[in-house]
Amino acid sequence: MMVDPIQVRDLHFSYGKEEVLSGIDLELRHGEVLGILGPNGSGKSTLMGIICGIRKDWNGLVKIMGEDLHSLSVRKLARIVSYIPQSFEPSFDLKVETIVSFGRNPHLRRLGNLTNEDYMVIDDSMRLTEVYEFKDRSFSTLSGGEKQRVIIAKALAQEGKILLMDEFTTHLDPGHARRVGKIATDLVRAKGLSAVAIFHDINQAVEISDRLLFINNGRVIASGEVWDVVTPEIIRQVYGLKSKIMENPISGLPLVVFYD
Amino acid sequence: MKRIALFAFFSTASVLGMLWLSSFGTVNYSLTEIFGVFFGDSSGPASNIYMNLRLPRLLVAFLIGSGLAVGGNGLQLTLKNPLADPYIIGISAGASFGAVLSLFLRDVGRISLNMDLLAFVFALFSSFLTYAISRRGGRIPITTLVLSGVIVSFLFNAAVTFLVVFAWRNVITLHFWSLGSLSGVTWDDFLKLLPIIVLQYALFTTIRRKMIIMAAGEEHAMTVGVHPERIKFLVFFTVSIVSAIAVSTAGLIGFVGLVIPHMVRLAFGTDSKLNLPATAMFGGVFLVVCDTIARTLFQPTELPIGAVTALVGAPVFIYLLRSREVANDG
Repeated sequence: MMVDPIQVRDLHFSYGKEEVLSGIDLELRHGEVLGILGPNGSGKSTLMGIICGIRKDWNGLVKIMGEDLHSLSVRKLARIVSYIPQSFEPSFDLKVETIVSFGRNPHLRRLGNLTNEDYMVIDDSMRLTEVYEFKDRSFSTLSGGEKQRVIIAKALAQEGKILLMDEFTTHLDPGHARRVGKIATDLVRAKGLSAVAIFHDINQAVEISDRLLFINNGRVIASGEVWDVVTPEIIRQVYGLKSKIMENPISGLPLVVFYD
Repeated sequence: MKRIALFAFFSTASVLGMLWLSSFGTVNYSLTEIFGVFFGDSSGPASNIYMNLRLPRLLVAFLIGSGLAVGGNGLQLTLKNPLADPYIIGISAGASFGAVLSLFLRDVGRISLNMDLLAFVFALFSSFLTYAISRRGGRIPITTLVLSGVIVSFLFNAAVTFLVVFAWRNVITLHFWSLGSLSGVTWDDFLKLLPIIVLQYALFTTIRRKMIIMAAGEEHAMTVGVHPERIKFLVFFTVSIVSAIAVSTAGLIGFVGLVIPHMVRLAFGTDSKLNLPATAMFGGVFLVVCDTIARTLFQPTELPIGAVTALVGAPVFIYLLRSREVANDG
């Protein structure tokens, strides 16, 4: 029996007086992609911020690979958890390779420099995400899809067992969103990783995720296998919208159509 | 390789250029005379003037320029802000207040406190003051940082004016504190500056990778194992020491930390290994050139060196403010 990569029990978090998370429970199982869905301001990104160590001062229990999150240093956590943000805008022009090399930082000795092995990991990551050809280009000159692939390469170079993805295809057109989404999920399977991904598009979430978790007002509304939780009742509770669920003729998965 | 050659070429040219610049002044030297001074086959008053006035002044100008440029580069990366510079964000004004306060206490209060130490304390205080004023929900908008720096500078400059007029009943000394000058620097100043500037350079080389990671955002930095607060504190602390020593030696000199890092980024790239050496080198050269202009343009009257650097720096600042680097993030 393998320990769940992420285990969260009764997690609370407040910005000042306003409680954003009011008792979240979730577990990420080994090898799965867990999709998180919820309206704007429901607390999804805060939850992810806590798991990757950006947000402090939360209450409850969070275990990463069986270890209490409080007991993990920033460096140690960064060796387990890689984060792919919605967008990434460095203030200065940096080369693609430099950005991918950021992923090696938690593995370096305190004052050490990148070693040959680090460069091998960096090159491999860039090949897998198909950014190797433009590794010497400046990041700011890339298209949205290329930029997200560079960020995925950075996360891969980090060699964490857990991948966190925060609406990582939101700014892309459908073609690039599919391609980038596929690159990420293929890597999760091929490398035996586990992933939590926040989605805006429920149909994309259904396609990519093994299980789904719906959040609203800082609480979990439902979680489980796609066919169990993608129901008109739950969608109404989460988004306040009427919907009809059909079977996607291509994938056989649920397909959600909204109406008023 | 091309860039290394470029850097080597510029560096050699710079050293020769600086020696050539040092030949101008109230006493003019030929290059052969200068080499004569260096290799010991020349003595007499001209040689003395060169060794005890001209040369230490050149070296001090180089060190201060180099230190301010490297410091500005560090501030820019860690604050994600191409406009950050010790002068613009108020660190230099804080240092100048500390330095004047120590003179004031000595002359008026008969209390003797080390000038460099007091300058450092207020430099550090003003850096955190500006930082605290401009921080909004974990972010520091570029223009807010600049505005906060301007206000903090006004505050400390006003305090300096009050102290100077109250203690000495004249405004002549104010010129030194508000626009800087390298006249009268000595070998002692050089020996005091050298270890500090070298230490800053060594430290920034060691943490450079982390500083570049921070240029991509503090939250992102945490997810790859960097403590942004620690790096920022190290940078503020170091830049405050350097600014304090620079100000107590030569008064307020602005814009070096803004102009040079920007030029070097354009020429060599932000993530190039040559970025930091080039910043240190050209920061030094820049201030030597500015000081030569300050010394010789209206000789025997000297221009305050801060007026020369501002004349070059202000247009660069305006250009940067309008440029893409800043426009991205208001």
